[in-house]
Amino acid sequence: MPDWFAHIMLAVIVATCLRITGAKRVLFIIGNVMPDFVRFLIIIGNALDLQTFNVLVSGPINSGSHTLLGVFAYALFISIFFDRSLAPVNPAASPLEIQGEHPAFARALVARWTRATDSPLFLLVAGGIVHLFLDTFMWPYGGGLYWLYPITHAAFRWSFGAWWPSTYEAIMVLAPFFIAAVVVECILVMRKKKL
Amino acid sequence: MKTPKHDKAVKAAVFAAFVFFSIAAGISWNYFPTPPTRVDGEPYSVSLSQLRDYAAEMEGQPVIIMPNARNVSFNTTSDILTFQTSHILFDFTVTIVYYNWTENGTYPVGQLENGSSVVVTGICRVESAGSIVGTRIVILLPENVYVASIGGLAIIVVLVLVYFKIDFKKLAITRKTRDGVKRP
Repeated sequence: MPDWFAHIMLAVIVATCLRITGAKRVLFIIGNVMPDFVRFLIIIGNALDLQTFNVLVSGPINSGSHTLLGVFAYALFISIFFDRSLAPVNPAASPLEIQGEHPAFARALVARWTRATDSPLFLLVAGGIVHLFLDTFMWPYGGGLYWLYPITHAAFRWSFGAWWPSTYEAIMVLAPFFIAAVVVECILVMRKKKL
Repeated sequence: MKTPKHDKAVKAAVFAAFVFFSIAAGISWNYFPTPPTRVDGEPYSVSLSQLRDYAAEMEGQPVIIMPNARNVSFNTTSDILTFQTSHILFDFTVTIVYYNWTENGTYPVGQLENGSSVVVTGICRVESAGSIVGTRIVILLPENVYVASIGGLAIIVVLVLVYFKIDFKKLAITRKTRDGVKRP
């Protein structure tokens, strides 16, 4: 796993590109670290020297969480704690309305996207998939992610083979894009203030 | 819009079912491992359970395992680095041997310690010699990840506290503001 810092950086980059803002962005970020929540079990297991527990419980749960099925199951669970919709009470207050003259399909697309991102479940699942995407860069050899778990044939263990887990390469690769995203955010905030 | 109670129960049930399924799959893969598979001519990426149950099929094959090293020892005269790994559930130990370590080894000997998480590529000789003749090795340092992740955790906690209100009694997290208006 690239560390949570790297996952948050990628979450901010993607959220900036897709204009996911405010509380929705926070949920998207939570989705981005969600598959790693179970690491706490492994840390506790290591601290208490419960190796059998790690082999039979924490490890399998962690493997399961790093899959499409797992992302959906975890997102379902976490969405329990949030309201069903994050939509503004007054639809006119939606931050994603497009200004100016745009073709009908563009407006429909934006409206549909806005509705989708009103759902915590959608944001958590989307974040989880971005997490899996970043994790797929790990393991130059020997490992990879079973996106289609429980299918565990080697042909379905996917990795881009870019870097090893436990290195800071993910942060270094993402850093320029992250800085660019932060700059774009600052410009947008300043523009909004001027308006 | 609040989530109805029956909806919450269904979601929790699906999550619990998945977690139990993951644990059951993990236990079954430990006790009854599936045969090792590979793509094209790549080495087999195997667990210790698979090595134990399929040692005959793996004999002489290139394999990759990710064990925790123990009993690390380096023989300076023969230039051989060895360490062992064993399955926590079974009485099964594999010795990993690297010949000509100082010549071919990627790391100084001291970097490989007891307890190190490593990725080992080698040729399986478990059936005949109880060992893997290593060709490559990578030492993983998970502590790095945990240290950086603490920073990430702090960011998430702050963001949640800024944007959401946590009701511990109802176990609910609600947005602090809607339409720019603070909720009571």
